[in-house]
Amino acid sequence: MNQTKMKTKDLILAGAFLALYCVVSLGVIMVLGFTPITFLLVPLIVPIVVGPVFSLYLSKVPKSGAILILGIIVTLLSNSTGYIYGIIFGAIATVVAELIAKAGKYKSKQMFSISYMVFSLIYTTPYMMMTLARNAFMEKTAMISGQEFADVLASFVPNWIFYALIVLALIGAAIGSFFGQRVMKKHFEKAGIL
Amino acid sequence: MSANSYRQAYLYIDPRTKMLLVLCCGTLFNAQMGMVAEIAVFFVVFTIGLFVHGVKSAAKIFIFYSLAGLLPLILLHSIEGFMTIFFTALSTLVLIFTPAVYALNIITKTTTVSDSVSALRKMHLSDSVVIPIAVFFRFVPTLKEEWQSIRSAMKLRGIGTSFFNVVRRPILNMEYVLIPLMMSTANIAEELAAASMSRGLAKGVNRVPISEVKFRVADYIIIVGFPVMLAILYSLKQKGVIV
Repeated sequence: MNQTKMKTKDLILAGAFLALYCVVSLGVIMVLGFTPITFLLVPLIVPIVVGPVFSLYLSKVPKSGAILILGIIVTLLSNSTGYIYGIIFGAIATVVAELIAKAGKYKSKQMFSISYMVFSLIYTTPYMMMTLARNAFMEKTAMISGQEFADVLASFVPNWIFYALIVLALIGAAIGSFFGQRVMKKHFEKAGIL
Repeated sequence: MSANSYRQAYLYIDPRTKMLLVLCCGTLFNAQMGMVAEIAVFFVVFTIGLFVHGVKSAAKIFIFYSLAGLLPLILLHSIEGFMTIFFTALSTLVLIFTPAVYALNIITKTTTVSDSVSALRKMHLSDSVVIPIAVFFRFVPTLKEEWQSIRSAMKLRGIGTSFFNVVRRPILNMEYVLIPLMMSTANIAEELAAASMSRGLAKGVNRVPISEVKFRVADYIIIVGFPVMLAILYSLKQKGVIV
């Protein structure tokens, strides 16, 4: 009856996959963050890399609230600079992703892809400030990564960058979900992990 | 997992205090605190870590901090050109992020799942939030161990994990690292779930913890002293007294 409610075991699995997800994506972000150009590719590349993790997580824990836990914590971590609109945007993306996955009963592959695409919009939230509060963002970047990094970034980043990054994130997530399902088929279904 | 691996060095502090430490270190990259504040915060966290986490790890982080963070600051006047940019960026990154990373390290290395569960429950959070967060902190060191064994297995088979190799074949390398990591995460999580449930960790069930989680003298000193210190440093920076 209560098939879709999270039990203790699901919560523990969620915590474990949360750790894996955060560690993998932080690793990728740290590598990409070294130069200004690759720094802008984070929303494209991170969803591709963590796609398999996300699809394994969702097939291990196909319960309502699974995406919610992951999404809220990832949003808070990636907006640790405290930009409140970024947090709100990330929370909305998470809830929508959860509802879409729920509509597919956490089984449908198409619904999973769409849900993952919406979910990946979280990775654009740190860049939201670039469009909406450009000066504040550049000040903060100068403080954290040095004035030179900020100058280079300011010189070639146009004002509409946030919207372009949304498109990039959607493309990345589409590739990532395809990749994730391939990986699941190739490695996990055979090994009987599911 | 034996309780021994989590044994405190000299001092026990509440998990909630450790979380406050991370939050306080987070102000370094949220507000412009200046260099003096960054170094002061590091030394506070370092001192706490020395007592809570042990001398060995504190010494490690101290050596890293002085080599990558403080040394470039001193040498900066004598280096020219491109290297200046590189070293300034490196040293600011180290100065800003090391305290937070070390504070997180203290949480993950010195807190048991049951301690963090009872601490988070005392903050009146719902179990659906408490259990994943507690497991999250428990799992990060496990992932590091798994990653090390995956790396040695790759080395044994002659697959290098050097930077050059990763750049040359990104997809293949990703598969080699990510798939085993996901496999072991899935398996370990299942085992951890079985073990924790047999020890009475369940959603909505109250358990009586063996180790008592409460604020002690050291906790009160940190909880009051650290934010006050941050506030003083911030106002001094605003007035231009310190850099």
